[in-house]
Amino acid sequence: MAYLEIESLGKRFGGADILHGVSLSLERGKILTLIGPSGEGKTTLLRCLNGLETPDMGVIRLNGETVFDAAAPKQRERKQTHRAFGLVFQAFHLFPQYTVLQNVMLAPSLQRRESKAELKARAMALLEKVGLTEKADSYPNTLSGGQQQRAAIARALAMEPDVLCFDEPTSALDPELTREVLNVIRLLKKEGRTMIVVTHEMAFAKEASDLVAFLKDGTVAECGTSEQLFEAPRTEALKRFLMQTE
Amino acid sequence: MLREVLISLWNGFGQSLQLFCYTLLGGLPLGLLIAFGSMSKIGPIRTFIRGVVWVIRGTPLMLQLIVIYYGPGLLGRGMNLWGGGQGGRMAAAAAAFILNYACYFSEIYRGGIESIPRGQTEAGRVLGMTKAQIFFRIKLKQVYKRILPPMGNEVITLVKDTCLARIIAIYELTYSGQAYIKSDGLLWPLLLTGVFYLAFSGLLSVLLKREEKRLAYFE
Ligand SMILES: Nc1ncnc2c1ncn2[C@@H]1O[C@H](COP(=O)(O)OP(=O)(O)OP(=O)(O)O)[C@@H](O)[C@H]1O
Ligand SMILES: [Mg+2]
Repeated sequence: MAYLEIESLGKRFGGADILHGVSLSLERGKILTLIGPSGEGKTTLLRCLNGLETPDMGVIRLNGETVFDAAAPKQRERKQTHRAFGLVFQAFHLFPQYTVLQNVMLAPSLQRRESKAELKARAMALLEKVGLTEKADSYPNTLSGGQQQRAAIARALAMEPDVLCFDEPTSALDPELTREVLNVIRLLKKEGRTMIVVTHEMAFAKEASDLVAFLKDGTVAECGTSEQLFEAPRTEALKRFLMQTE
Repeated sequence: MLREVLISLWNGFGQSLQLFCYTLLGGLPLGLLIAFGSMSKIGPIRTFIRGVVWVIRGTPLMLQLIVIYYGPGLLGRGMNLWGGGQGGRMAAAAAAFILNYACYFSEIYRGGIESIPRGQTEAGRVLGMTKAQIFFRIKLKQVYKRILPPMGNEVITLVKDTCLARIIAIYELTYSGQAYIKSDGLLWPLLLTGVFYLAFSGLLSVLLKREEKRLAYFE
């Protein structure tokens, strides 16, 4: 059994089937990229994983444990000692009234599992990893978009999620800043983090992913290694999509 | 004479200030409760609270003062909810002012809360924060910053509104100035009350501006 198993996940918004029968599995330490045309449910899938939406159907299993089961949706609400999933948003959503360091420390500090000093050391190490040591005491509105996104990544990492999800983490950024953020994701891959990345950066998807899933009409139309999908697409839809994004 | 007038106005100002403080102490938290009620997921509660706010905001404060002060006594014969004397009148005035201002405050709170982008809540949820943590640790300060200017306006209006309490015979500032027209045929004590009002609202404006500056560091 794979580390992460998503089994026939379905989500409906007011009668419209946005996701149906989405099944994916991912090994620990691997990176999965989700590609596909706009409005096909990529964001919705990440939101379902992260508990921002409740799927109408399906099961999510992590490390052999059921994290979510549509047959018993209330179970997700039980208190977790650590996070199964983390999410980095397209628009960062940093907390503006807190410094970068405070942003990183806020959520873990509420869990009271470590001392302030330990937490601060851990947060500073995360900031170093994303290259923001100097900005620890700056407020988000003084940072560039790339810096904000890297701060958001550090904030998500501070909760030590098993699987870190990114929803188009660079689509609000210009190329220079995009590179900074993608480099951080590459670094995390080297560390062996399990990640799911929704992206329109095809070059990045090609180069960095262990697994690529093409989402079309609310379901996984094609899934495989990046060679399989980019060099030898099987479906017409994927061929067309790749042509357009070239 | 000036000394006598000043002492009298000072006492009147004391009454006004008391009412002002009671209104803020009671109205600010009650307003937040009403705001939550008006955003409740439970339909009947929401409708009821919004109805009350609509009535209170749509009728004069002076009318509410009179009803709240005299109403209980007229309803239950001999019922004396407010107690006698100046203390009872102040209690009734405070009740009316708190209710009235809480309704205005609640609309400001609600606007402020609803103006915070959804992404803030979602970022908190994804980090495993509870609803209460998200409100108090993330949204409250942002709401505070956003509502400070409109709240400031309400508070300055309140300074001047305290003079309505005279309708139930509270010896507030305006009342104590006007008394000299009848007793001594003097107008200047009344004009002097204006200086009190100006000084007080001026001081509040300065404090509010300072608070706005203090919060300018974000967004
Ligand atoms: N809360 C919601 N209520 C109703 N419809 C929704 C909601 N959220 C998403 N949808 C719809 O679901 C569909 C999929 O949206 P989603 O944001 O998941 O697509 P996406 O693949 O992430 O697209 P993009 O590449 O543009 O980000 C869209 O048609 C959208 O309008
Ligand atoms: Mg999306």
